[in-house]
This record gives sequence, C-alpha cells and structure tokens, in this order.
Amino acid sequence: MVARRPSTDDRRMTTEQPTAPRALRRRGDDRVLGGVASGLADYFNVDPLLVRIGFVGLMVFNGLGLGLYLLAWLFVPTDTDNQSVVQRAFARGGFGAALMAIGLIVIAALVLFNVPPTTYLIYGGREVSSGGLEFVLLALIAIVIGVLLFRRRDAGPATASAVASAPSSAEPSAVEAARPVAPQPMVVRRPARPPSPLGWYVFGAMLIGSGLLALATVVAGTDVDLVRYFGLGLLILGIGLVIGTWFGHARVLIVVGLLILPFAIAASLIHVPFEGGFGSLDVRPTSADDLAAEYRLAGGQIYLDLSRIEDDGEPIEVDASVAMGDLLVVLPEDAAANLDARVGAGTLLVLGDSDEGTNLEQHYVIDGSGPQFVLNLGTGLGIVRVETRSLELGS
Amino acid sequence: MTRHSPDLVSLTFGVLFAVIGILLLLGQLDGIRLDWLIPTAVVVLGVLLIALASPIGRRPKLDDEPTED
Repeated sequence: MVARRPSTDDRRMTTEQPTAPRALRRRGDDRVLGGVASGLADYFNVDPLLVRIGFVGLMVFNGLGLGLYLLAWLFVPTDTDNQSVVQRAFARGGFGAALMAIGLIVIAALVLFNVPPTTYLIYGGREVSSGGLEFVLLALIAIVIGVLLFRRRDAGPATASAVASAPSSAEPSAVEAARPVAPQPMVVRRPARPPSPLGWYVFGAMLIGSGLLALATVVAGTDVDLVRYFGLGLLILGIGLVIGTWFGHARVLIVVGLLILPFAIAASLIHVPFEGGFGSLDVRPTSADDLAAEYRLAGGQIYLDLSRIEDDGEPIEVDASVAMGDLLVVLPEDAAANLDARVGAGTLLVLGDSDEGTNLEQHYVIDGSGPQFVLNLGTGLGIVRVETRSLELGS
Repeated sequence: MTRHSPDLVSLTFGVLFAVIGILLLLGQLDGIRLDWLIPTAVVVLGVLLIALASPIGRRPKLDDEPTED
C-alpha cells in the first residue's frame, strides 16, 4: 500500500482554511543575531528593521535592549524545532550546566541594567570614581561564559536529535499508510530575501578607510582625533545605504549606524588628547621636582595629590587630562592657583562649585599664601574634581 | 546586485549618516550641544514609523524576483 500524498485539492483546502494563530518564534532564515527581531516582526506583522531599531533604542536605558534581547533569545523557541534555548538545554540532561548558564546570563543582564553611572571606590585611602566600567566588563564576561556553556551543551546531542527528528527513508507501515494525512495549517510568513553582499562591501570599505586614515597620520606625523574616524565610518556607511537605495539591500547598516552614532557624538565631545593608555594613575609628589609637566590617560582615572608639596616660591605648572574618565586633584589648604578646567560631557567640581552638562569650561583664580599652581585640567567624558586638603574626599 | 525599486528608508538614513559623517570629519560638530539630541531622535523615530508604515517604506522588491500569482 502506498501512502496517500497530499493532493492539489488538499493544498487548496489547506490554503482555504483560516490561518493558524501566530506563534512567536525566532527565525533562523532571516536573522542578524539570534532571529529575535525577525521573529517579533513576523508576530506583530511589522518591518524587522523597526524592531531592531527598538532594541537599539532601548540600549540607551542602561542596556535594557540587550537584556530584553538576551531574555527573548533564551526563552523564545526557534522556528526549526519549536524549542527555546532553555528548553533544549534542560531536555538534554545538563541541568547543572544549563542552570549555571542561565544564571550567568540573567545576572549579567541585571547587572547591565543597574550599572551605576559612577561608582566610588576606596582608592589609596580616598574615594575615587571608577565610572562603573568594571561592572560592565564583568557582565560581558559572564554573558560570554554563559553563551559558551550553552553552545557546549548544544554541540553533541544536537546531531542525534536532528537524526531522530529527520524523516525516515523506510517505507511507511500499513497503519501509517492508512492514516489520512491531515492538512497542515498554513502560517503566512514573510519570505526571506536572498543575501546581498552590500553590507560586507561597506564594512570592508570602512576598515580600509580607517586604516588609510591611520596610515596617513603616521606618514604625515600628525594626530587625528578619534571623532574623525567615526566621521569617516559614518560617511562610508551613509554612502553604502544610498547605494542600497537602488542596488542590493543592507538595511542592517541603519542599525549599525545608529549604534555608532552615540559613540561618534561622545567622541566629538572629547577635546583632550586621546593618549596615555587606560588604567589608574596615582601621583603623590612631595616636591615640584617629583612632578611631570603633564599627565595623560585615554581612559581611567588620575589621582593627583599636590597637598604635600612644599612651597619654594616658584609657580608649579601641571597639565593633566583623561579622555574618558575622572581627574581628581587635591591642593594644599593654603594653595594659590590659576586653574583652567574643561569637561566635554560630565561634571565639574571645583572647591564646592559644581556644574554638569556638556562643553563645560571654567577659569578659576584661587587666592592663598601657600604654594602657587598653574593647572590645566580636562576630561572628555567624566569628572574633573578639585579639592583642598581640608575638603578632601573621605577625610 | 540587482537593481530594485527605490528604498526611501535606506536613502533617508544614508543621507543622514553621510551628512553627519562629513560634519564630524570637518569638525563642524565639535562643541556640539546635546539639548537638541533627544527631541531630534523623537522626531526621527516618528518619521521612521510613518515611513515604515506607508507603502513607500516597505521592503524594496527586487526586479528579478518571481512575482506571486
């Protein structure tokens, strides 16, 4: 006996039936990362680009978009086997590993939601700001470990599962053959488009452009601000999108551009040298001879304690800056100072005078009978804080 | 890459990114004030919503794609 195949009439019947209730599924055939946005777009019948922009937009709220995406990736089933990552991990017996992986990812997401904008730590006996960077790094490491654990769980049994679920090539039994083939409910789905190389061309052009700009600075022996690299990248990306208006398609570049844009704007606020590396710099000189002319950091914090310097009658000049981070200066209680302070975006705190916002620039003249200082202090994104010994933090 | 009907969403964002890129390269956005940022983002999002909801904002159809019966 031969199994009855669905006939043309069946197919017509199928299409005439009401469509099945739509179920939320991650799409495997039309995805950028995990297919979450594409699945949501199918579910709500909207353009996936809109959902992707929504996720990117929610990133502004302490990474909320990333957290929601991760949760959806964990718990929304795929369209291939109707199982979520969590279901698959538990079904394959690795309860401990699955639980640990889920825990790591969820904790990381929670940490990302709640990263304090500025965290003060006890540093050298005093409070200094860390910017909360360590929390973000920890969370990202936890996410990577969690994802790796999942992938390890997926590696072996997936093949067996796929074999088990594959249709058998053997002839159907009599019972199976006699069973009428039920028409499958039709689910209307947006067809996946053929891949276009335009996005790769644009990414390649962005890398080549950035490399050439960096080479040009080496050859010419000049410095180019970080913001120029972002500008070049956005220009190439924009040209790629304009080409995509008529040839190829690379709407994903819109999401990439929206992700780059905040960094580009932030970089445009950094007017101090992007040099000196990353980390912490703790300087506690006891005389003017111990001081360097300038202190620079690209990212991190500089703690400059000038309170122990003896007065030798000569003005002491110091130029210090942090491109992304905080600069804390402690002066002697009786210091006289001529102080220029500049903050691209953040907070300026000088002897109790406080200001916050973008493009802050102030000049202070501090009268005193002690050592004289000429200070030029700046940060791109962060805090410039100047205190005297008597007002010093933590004392 | 096959020519397709114009994708106005790509064109809008392409021009926007290109203009911002040029301004950044030329240093015209140095010292930028951020007061306008959120209102502008809201306006752009609104325009985007309308564009995506309208027929002209739909995904471009490739000319060589088989047409549905």
